[in-house]
Amino acid sequence: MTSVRLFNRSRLGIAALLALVGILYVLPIAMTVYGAFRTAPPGLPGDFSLTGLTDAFADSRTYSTLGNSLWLAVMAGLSATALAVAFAWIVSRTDAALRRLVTPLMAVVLATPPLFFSLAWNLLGTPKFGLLNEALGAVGLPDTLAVTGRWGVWFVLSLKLCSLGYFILIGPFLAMDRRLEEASLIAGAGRLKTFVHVNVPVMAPAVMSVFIIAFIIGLIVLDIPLIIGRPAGFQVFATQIFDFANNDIPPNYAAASALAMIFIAVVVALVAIKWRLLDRRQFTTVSGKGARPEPWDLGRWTWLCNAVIVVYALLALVLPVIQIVLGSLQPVFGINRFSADNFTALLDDPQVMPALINTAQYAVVGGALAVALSLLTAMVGRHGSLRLRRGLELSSWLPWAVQGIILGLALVWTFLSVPFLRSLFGTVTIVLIGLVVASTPVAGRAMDAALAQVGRELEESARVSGASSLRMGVGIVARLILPSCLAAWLITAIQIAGNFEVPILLSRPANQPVAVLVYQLNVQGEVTRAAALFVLLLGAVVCLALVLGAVAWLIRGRASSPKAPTARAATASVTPTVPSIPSRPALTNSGVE
Amino acid sequence: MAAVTIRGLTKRYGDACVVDGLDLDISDGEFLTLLGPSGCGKTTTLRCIAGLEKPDAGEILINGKVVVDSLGTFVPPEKRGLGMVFQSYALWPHMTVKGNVAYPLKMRHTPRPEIASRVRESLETVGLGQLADRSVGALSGGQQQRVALARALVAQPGLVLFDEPLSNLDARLRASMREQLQLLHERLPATSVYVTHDQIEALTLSDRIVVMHDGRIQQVGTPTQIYADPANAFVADFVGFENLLPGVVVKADLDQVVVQVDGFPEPVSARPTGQPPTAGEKATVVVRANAFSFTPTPSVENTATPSGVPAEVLTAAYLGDQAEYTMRVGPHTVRVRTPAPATARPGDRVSLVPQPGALLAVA
Ligand SMILES: Nc1ncnc2c1ncn2[C@@H]1O[C@H](COP(=O)(O)OP(=O)(O)OP(=O)(O)O)[C@@H](O)[C@H]1O
Ligand SMILES: [Mg+2]
Repeated sequence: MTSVRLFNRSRLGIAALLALVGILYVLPIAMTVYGAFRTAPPGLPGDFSLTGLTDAFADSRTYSTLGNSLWLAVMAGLSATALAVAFAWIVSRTDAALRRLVTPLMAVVLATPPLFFSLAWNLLGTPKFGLLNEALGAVGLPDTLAVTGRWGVWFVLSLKLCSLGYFILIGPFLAMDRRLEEASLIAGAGRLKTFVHVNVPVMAPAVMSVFIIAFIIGLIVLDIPLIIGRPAGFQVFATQIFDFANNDIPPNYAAASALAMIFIAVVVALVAIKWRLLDRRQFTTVSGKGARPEPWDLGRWTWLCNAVIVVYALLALVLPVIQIVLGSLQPVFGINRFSADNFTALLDDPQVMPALINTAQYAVVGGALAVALSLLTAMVGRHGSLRLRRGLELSSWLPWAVQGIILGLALVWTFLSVPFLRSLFGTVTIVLIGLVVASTPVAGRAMDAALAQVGRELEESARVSGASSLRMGVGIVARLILPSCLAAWLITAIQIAGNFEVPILLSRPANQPVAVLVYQLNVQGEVTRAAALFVLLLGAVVCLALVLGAVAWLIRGRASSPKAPTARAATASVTPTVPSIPSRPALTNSGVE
Repeated sequence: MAAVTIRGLTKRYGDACVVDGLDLDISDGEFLTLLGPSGCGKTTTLRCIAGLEKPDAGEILINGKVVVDSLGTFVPPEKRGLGMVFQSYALWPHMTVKGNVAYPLKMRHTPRPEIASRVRESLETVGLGQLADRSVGALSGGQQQRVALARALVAQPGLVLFDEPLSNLDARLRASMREQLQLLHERLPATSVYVTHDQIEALTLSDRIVVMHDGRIQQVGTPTQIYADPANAFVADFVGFENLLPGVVVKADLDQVVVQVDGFPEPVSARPTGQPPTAGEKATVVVRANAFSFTPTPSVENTATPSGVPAEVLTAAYLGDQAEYTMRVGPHTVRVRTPAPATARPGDRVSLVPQPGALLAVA
């Protein structure tokens, strides 16, 4: 391709980018495998052996947690997928009055870290004292509803994952040509048969990818099981890895890595399956210019759809927020005497201020780095050769294999085993790197979506008018997608601020973020103080959002290009899904109507 | 086979009345075309017949059976036993060619062996027998179109609806598909309602044409009637009368009216189409560009010969076997086409002579 000579000319630059991507994504995986065969903890002299594997697989806990994790992954995968399909269908195909609320609601739920839901539902679902039980008690029902253990984890995880699935599905659902359904009606099939024979199979690849992603997350999620499941004895894969690495004395890093290896293998297999599935069945995007998404007139059933939306909003957002805020104001949980004691105690705590500063650094710098890295890979991918694009595409999948606690573990190995990196352990840098890697799936999707909205012609016209590729990249494209970049930055920053799975193994008091501190307070039984700390974090995030929003507004006000993508579009497209499949022109020729 | 009766069909979107009190009788086995400019309500009418749209008023009977009326009767599309070809083809991308074509038969609970043979038969009919197992995504536009056709016809419905089925094809393919459709209609005993805004399609395929404008019927007639005797200025314009000259009727007989066209030196006589107007009414004289001949006028006199209208040539263009001129006649610009070579040049003064019977007076 001649379109970006700069990138061709400086092959060095591309090589450097590939090396960076390799180090960030591939090295951790390799180090996890390496670690599984070491006899000594990271950084200490040791030998290669199979003890890690035998330890892990001789431990009977491994099998029960493996079973639990599979159960959780399948169950949460199914329920989150079903919920996501239901919401995508309500929004794209019905005239339910509240359907316009769904996308903003889902965006907020998607952006909110799982740690928040864990804390909030842990409180909400406390017998007698939780908000939910107080409400039940007040109307004379038994106030013993406990959101805990297996079903508690499943419930909270489903609420959270549903938002991710929704954003993967809503595009294909909106794009599906209504004529496909009508042709089936004309052919003599009723609505039910049409749904079974046409809607379901046409949407199957998209639905399948939702299930696979939900399954992967269900397999590796740490914070929800740790806070909601473990107190009731529900152990999963991730909590087991956590125990091996953090709570066993001495820590058994090899066994933890052996388990992590299983997870990596499962993810790689799933991704391979998914690619094969999608390669054969390329009709996910069944769009057409003539496709108007006319809603079905639901008649009496609209109230049901509205009710589903209201219930979800209550469970996934309204109640948790109320509970966290109320909880933060209760010095003793469940006793309705409100004061700011928690906050004053927090401000006196010598750990809090440094943690807040750390988190601010991680969020702001890490978010910017993740967005910049994603922008760079997306730009190179856009102009590079097909092989280069494939390679980068693959690397956008790798972070799925090193998520959460596994990434933390991998980075422990990497930083303690590689001599020159060792000095970085315990510093802000290592946590920052981990968080950047962890947040690239999100940032990458946002950047792809943003770039997709910048018409090729805009770039080409800039080049034709004599701009060099660098000037074009910076002057035209970056400027056009600046609002999207800011939105992506904000979202990435929020993800980073709420992430405690990655830093939990990496952080020492000097570099620990607020999220880890929140978790520790929660473990120590200071549930309301943990809530108060989270409220502080939320407050900071909201301030950041306001600032960025104002900046984006200013920029958009000045550069009012019609093709300039809006920040909202980027927000809606932050879906860590597969790179979208190009629609086939032959199937999209719905012409003008 | 099915006859269709439409009474007072009305469909509104918000304030806009898209179909406005449409009455139409379609007889058994007829090929009827809805013709009209974009946005005139053709698709909406068709979708009301199909049951994909609920009309706001009026009733539709298919084969004497009420399928929708204002009393609340509504037979859903799947119970109407129709075939339909969509403009976008709407082939199901997850099924093969065979799967698409077999679907209507499956939904009608046809026994399996019969499905297989009928699918094969109808794919052969549209010339796609060898592609039965392809995925529909791997077909060209024309092939997709034929699959859509086979799917619409396979269950041998009494009524087949077509919504601009050829509009996504290139010109040559369109011509050959048009011929195929014609052959198919002769072989299959189905009533066809065909929507298009292409007048060639309408003229070649139809038994009768309905010209629509703004949700109302402008004229119903055979292709010859529509083409030769447009009922009003809109239809004349739509079927390609290049010159529309508004005026006032001076004198009216049964088969001849005399119209004073605004700005013409003398009244012209024209043949009325439809109801002859009465003297004093407004009328439009319409005439095709190729229905003129002209003779040079001696520049000194600058008056009309008894049968001619004085005109000044504005432009002259050479179109291969024809020459096309625009000429000024009073305040009007008249388009004239004659066999090549061009015999006048811009600035020339000529006397325009319409062929006998070429001037029509329309409402
Ligand atoms: N769902 C709808 N909501 C609002 N207006 C509509 C809707 N569908 C159609 N219309 C309007 O109704 C009018 C008639 O539409 P229709 O599709 O019947 O036109 P058409 O004659 O088929 O035109 P074309 O030749 O462009 O297909 C148009 O002005 C269109 O904008
Ligand atoms: Mg139409």
